[in-house]
Amino acid sequence: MRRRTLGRWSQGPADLLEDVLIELSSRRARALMMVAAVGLSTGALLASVGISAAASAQIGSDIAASTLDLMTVSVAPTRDGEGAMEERRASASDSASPDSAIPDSASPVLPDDTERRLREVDLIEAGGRRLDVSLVASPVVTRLPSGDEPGREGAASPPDVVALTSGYLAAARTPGPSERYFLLDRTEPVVLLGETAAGRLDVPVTDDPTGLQVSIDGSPYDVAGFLGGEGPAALADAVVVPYATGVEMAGDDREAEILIRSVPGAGTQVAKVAALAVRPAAPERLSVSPVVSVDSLRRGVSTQLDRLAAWTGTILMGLTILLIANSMVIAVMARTAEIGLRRALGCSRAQVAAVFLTEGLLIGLLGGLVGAAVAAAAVVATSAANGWTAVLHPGWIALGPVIGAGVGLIASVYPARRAAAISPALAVRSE
Amino acid sequence: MVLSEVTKTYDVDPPVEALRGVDLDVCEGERVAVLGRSGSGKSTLLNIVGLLDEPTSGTYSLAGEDVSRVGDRVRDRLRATMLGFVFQESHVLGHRTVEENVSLGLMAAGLARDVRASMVTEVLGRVGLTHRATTPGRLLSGGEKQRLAVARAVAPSPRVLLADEPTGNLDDVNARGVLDLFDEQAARGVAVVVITHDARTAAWADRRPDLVDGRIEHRAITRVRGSVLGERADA
Repeated sequence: MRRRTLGRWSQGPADLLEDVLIELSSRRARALMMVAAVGLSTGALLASVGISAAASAQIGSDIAASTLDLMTVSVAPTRDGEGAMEERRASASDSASPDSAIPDSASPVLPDDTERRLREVDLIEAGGRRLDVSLVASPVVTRLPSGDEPGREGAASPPDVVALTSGYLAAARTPGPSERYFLLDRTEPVVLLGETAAGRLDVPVTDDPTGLQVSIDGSPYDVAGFLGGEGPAALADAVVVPYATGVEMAGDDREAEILIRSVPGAGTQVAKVAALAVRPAAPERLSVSPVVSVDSLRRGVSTQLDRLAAWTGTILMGLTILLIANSMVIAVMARTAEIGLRRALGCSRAQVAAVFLTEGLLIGLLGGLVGAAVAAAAVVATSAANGWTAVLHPGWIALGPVIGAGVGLIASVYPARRAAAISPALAVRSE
Repeated sequence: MVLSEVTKTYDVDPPVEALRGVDLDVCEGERVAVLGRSGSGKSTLLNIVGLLDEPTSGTYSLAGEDVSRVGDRVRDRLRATMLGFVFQESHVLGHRTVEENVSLGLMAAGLARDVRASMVTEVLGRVGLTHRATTPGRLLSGGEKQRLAVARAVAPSPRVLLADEPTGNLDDVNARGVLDLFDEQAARGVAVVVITHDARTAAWADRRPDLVDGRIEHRAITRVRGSVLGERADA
């Protein structure tokens, strides 16, 4: 078989590489800019995917943190008439003590050692029980006078009485005198007052509540401190009593629920085991549902999306500068004769540079105007296509030409300097 | 325009001595054709005379002022006001109209728009391109392009007109037309220095100094106009 040849002119790979390297090194700046442009465009693509994935993961994490890290465990609804007895029977069988396996009307739905059981789960940061006494009873709360002060009438609309364990406040991260939260796990007659409730009861909010008392159904309770209204517990308008006291007031704990905070990111796993940890014999009797913090979710998603857009935009801006600069360097090379002519006619280096700077500025300005219009149209079109509400900031749209002009100006600095540096004696002889 | 012992050495490896002590005087209204083979230093001489390059040694006086070592700003100003260039390839900017091409040099001289407009009209009339004023440069014929190049060079009324092979690519008729325009300039007192291989242009000149290896070899013999002529032969 006859061997095909490439004719007399043929190069080996090494010769070809050397040949190309000589050419590239003779136009080093241009070659570097082209490399940088390809690098940036590739980087922009990969980075936008990467940043998008990171942002997506962060958003997912934020959603998880805002929803699944905090969950409530409540008694699952059962058929009428059977619920309470069934719950007690199941609860008794969950207990460690063989005696308590016998159904007993006094057996709580949620075991007394619920908090201990929760603490045994590594992924649970904090957890505790809550019983809204006011939902099942109507305790009357008034302020008791201190010293010579006359007694007060009960508030027109009395605050809610809520029974908590200290674990609940820890899980809810409710601001307050946390060093006294342990009192909620005991049976002394003490209360913690939400700040709104304190106002309604005319109890002054103070760091030292010594001597302040309220009356619940005629019994005196010492005020042990005040609770802020922030957080998911919503205790601003509540009178918080020890959990055991609240169960006594309500008669049972059928309406009780548990608040659990998992370690960050472990909400899903905790949700799967929480019911089992509390009621190992009948986990199906409990239902777990996440507590959604919409505000923090919104803030988190918004921040991640802003960062994604800013990084992608910055990389694209850098790419644009390189592309314009590269294109203008080529234009300078192609216009060498013209530059020589201008210099021969008396134009100074500064005047030659000004031509290219102005070109860059105008290109950038027009590009910015077009970009602003395209961006506005894209936002409206995308929003319309997805059924979103279009959000257009006039300031940002107006900023388009300014950013464009800046990009054009920056991109033209190097080509302009290069044009100004061309020797007129050589330039006039170029074709 | 007086050059005295002008040398130019390019700092490459090995160094190239393009000019080796050139003496040349050119008076107002004089027509000088610098002859010489390729590589003899003609282009280097034109660059130095046109203030596009600096001599390595020697002096160059223009209108009585030593301009051998002046700064960029002065050189730019002198090129804009005292020197006019016509190149072999004409360097007409094809995407600009004839008017815009002529106006380019006047802009560099810092003239106002209305002054430029009247000067452009006047000079286009002189070179016979009034009817082509709004035609893009790329649509002109070779002869028209060279007339346009002359118009652009003479529009700011320079004292010296420098031309590099201005007729090299032209037929006899168009070459004659360009030389007539040069004659017109010389008649106005403009010193015309032409670098050429073209016998027609050589025959047209008052003097023909011959550059050989960077030196002017012999004295020119033709004296047509009554100026004080003569270059100091250094060979």
